[in-house]
Amino acid sequence: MSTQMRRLLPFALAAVAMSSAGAQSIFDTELRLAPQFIQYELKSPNNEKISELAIPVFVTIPFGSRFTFDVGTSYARARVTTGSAISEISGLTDTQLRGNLTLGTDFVVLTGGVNLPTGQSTVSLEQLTAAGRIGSDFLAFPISNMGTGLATTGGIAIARPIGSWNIGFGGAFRRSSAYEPFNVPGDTPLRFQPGNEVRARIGVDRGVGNGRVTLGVTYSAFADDAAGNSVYNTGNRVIAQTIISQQVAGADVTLAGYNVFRAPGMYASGEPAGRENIANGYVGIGFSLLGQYLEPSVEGRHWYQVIPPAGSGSTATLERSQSSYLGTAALRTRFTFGGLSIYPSGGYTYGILATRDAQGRSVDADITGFRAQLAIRVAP
Amino acid sequence: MPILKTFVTTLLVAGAGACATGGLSTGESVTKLEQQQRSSPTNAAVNRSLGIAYYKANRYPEARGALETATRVDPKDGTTALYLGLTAEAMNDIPAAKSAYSSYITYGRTSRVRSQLQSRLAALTRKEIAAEARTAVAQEATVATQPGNPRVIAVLPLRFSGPDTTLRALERGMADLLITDLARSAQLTLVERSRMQALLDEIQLQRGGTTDAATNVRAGKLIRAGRLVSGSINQIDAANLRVDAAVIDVPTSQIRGNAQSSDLLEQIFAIEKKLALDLFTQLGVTLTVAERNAVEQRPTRSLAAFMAYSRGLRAEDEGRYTEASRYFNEAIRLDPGFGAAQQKGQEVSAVSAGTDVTAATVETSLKGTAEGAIVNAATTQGSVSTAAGGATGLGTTAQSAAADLNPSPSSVATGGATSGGGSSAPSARDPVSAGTGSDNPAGTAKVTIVITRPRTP
Repeated sequence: MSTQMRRLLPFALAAVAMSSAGAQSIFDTELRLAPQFIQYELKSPNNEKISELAIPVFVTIPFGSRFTFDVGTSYARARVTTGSAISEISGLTDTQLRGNLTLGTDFVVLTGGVNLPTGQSTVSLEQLTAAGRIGSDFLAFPISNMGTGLATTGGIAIARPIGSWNIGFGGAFRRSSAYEPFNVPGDTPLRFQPGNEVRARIGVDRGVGNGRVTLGVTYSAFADDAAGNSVYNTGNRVIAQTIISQQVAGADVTLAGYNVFRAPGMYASGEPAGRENIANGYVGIGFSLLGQYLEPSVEGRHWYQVIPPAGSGSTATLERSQSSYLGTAALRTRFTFGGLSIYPSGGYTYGILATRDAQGRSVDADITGFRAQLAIRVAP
Repeated sequence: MPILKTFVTTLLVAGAGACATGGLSTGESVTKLEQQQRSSPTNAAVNRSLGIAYYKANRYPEARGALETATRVDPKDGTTALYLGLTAEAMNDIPAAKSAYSSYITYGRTSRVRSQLQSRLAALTRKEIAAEARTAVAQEATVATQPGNPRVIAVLPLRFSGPDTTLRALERGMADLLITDLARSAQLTLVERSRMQALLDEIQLQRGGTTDAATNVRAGKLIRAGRLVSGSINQIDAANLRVDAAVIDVPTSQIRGNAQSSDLLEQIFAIEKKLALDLFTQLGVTLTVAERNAVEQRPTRSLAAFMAYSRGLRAEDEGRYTEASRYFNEAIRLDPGFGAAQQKGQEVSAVSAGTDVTAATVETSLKGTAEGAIVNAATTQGSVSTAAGGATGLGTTAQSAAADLNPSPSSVATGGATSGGGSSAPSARDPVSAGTGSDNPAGTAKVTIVITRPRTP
């Protein structure tokens, strides 16, 4: 099915583009394309290089004033190099089709989506490291997986004004189909059934001066995953996000932050997975210099992990915690030609990763990295 | 957890800081918004808020300028359209007000206001017709010298004479039937009855309530009609009517033809059809078969319904819309298939409701809505709320919530790149890498998967 989906995708995208010609609000159609390359180098003792080339594409098409349809997918290539060993996976990722129906006067939105398995949800053991590393919430690659099988999502979001604030809240349910995550030659295929997910979200936003303040919290509760006879739960999540944008002395100042908390859970192996928390802060200042818009920014990230006790008897270890850090300095600019906007950007990252050496002792590994991106937005 | 606590505290402090706003006077709000407009002269939201603040300060020309700037930048913003309409109406520019209200009906977010403005549009159309009549009379010296098109026909209310004054309403009803039938011909253009009536009312007002044959011709010239149809309804006895009509050439004031029909009152529609067909002959129009068939259609079979309809027309002409609505409803009750009565009933109901719609009632409807929040922020805080409309409205709040509830990774991957804000929070988990721990860069590149296989029977 996955291969068929991949073959059909170009036709589906073409059909979408063609259908937009008949859309009532064709001029509101928007295409976004953001080719980007990110690489991190984890120094000793890890000595690992992780890179991702991603070319995500996303099209939004309004059909009338009430219904919006969007389709998005990506090409991605992930590579992990450890010494002379290379793990690599590439290809089209899953394709998401979404529809949002607005009821009443914009205050209620019904959302439905399908994750089409056009990506590579089944990986070989050689590809597993690369496919897994891009899922790191700490390194936050733009494309975090190559495919997760067929899934459907339905939800409702409601917005209401409270004084000068808008409050938005809602819930959603995601149901995933089973798939075979591993391709091990000569071995019996393993069926993996991801647990259903229930999401709840509440957020507020309001205009302040020339800018805006947005705060939001999303809670994701997962049912147990099942792989063969292993039934486990990797832990529920709470994600808090905020963006404050404001014009200060002619400059566009953006303060943004998010916090991802994952409750303790369990791996498929039955070992405990400790809770973890990732906090991220961003400051960007956009201004015009000699007629060119520039936006330098700095971003900091902290990853807090609780490592649960392991082993038993005299070899048991106590629960401990560890912290990793990343800091990124970046510069973005913007070129606009009518309805075409191009945002080239680049950044350099330095950080420290809490890890363990060959003897199992806690040590820090330096991280360096860079990213380059050419985001394009077409909104005729 | 200390870090989570710190983050939550930061969020709360940021939120509390954003909440800390005080009330300003309208003048202070205007001053504050003028400052913002100087630094962002083409910002739609700023100009919208400034326009609203000017409107509230009764500074209509400045309000109009700011709101027109906002409209040019964001023509789909309902709040801007609403206040542009209110401002134009305050400046007695009815066409501009109608255009702006129509825009709000298309793009506005508050359903109650949309409904109010639909009614207001109907009332403004009446007001516009009356204003046009006033202007025509005021500019009579130039307007009346321009010859009317002979294909443009105006039908005047017929004059009733007879002992049964309850039949006087037929003056309007018969004229309305003739207009409807004469308009069946593609060769003729009929002046709307309401426009002709407004002009007659205006002339009559200037003449102290008196009219004569010369008045009718004068009205015809002012409305640029080439020919007039005028006539009379005479009650011969208790059961019989005679209707006479004449075609008058407006430029020369000469009668160019006559038509006459008489029958029992119950045969009023037969009387009218014969008259209409004679008038076509007098007007030099040869009907096609389809047009003739259309002319022969009767609006209703019920004389009582038609009488109620005619009374409704009279009440409407005299501005008694509630009473008119009652008569039209009576006509519909007597003949539910009476289409003209249904249409007129809806029209006068809208006009009646529209005359009660004021800026105050509209603004009352806005209270507690997202658009009301924009107005409130502009007038009491001098700030630019983007609670609704445009790209950052209440709809966007709901859409954002929906996007977080049903995330699309490629949307997140491309959205952050074009909108700013740095890295995006992970939108979804990868269940396999999370379950195997292979997403953890702190581990080694060697991943061990331990999974219990299903037991074979």
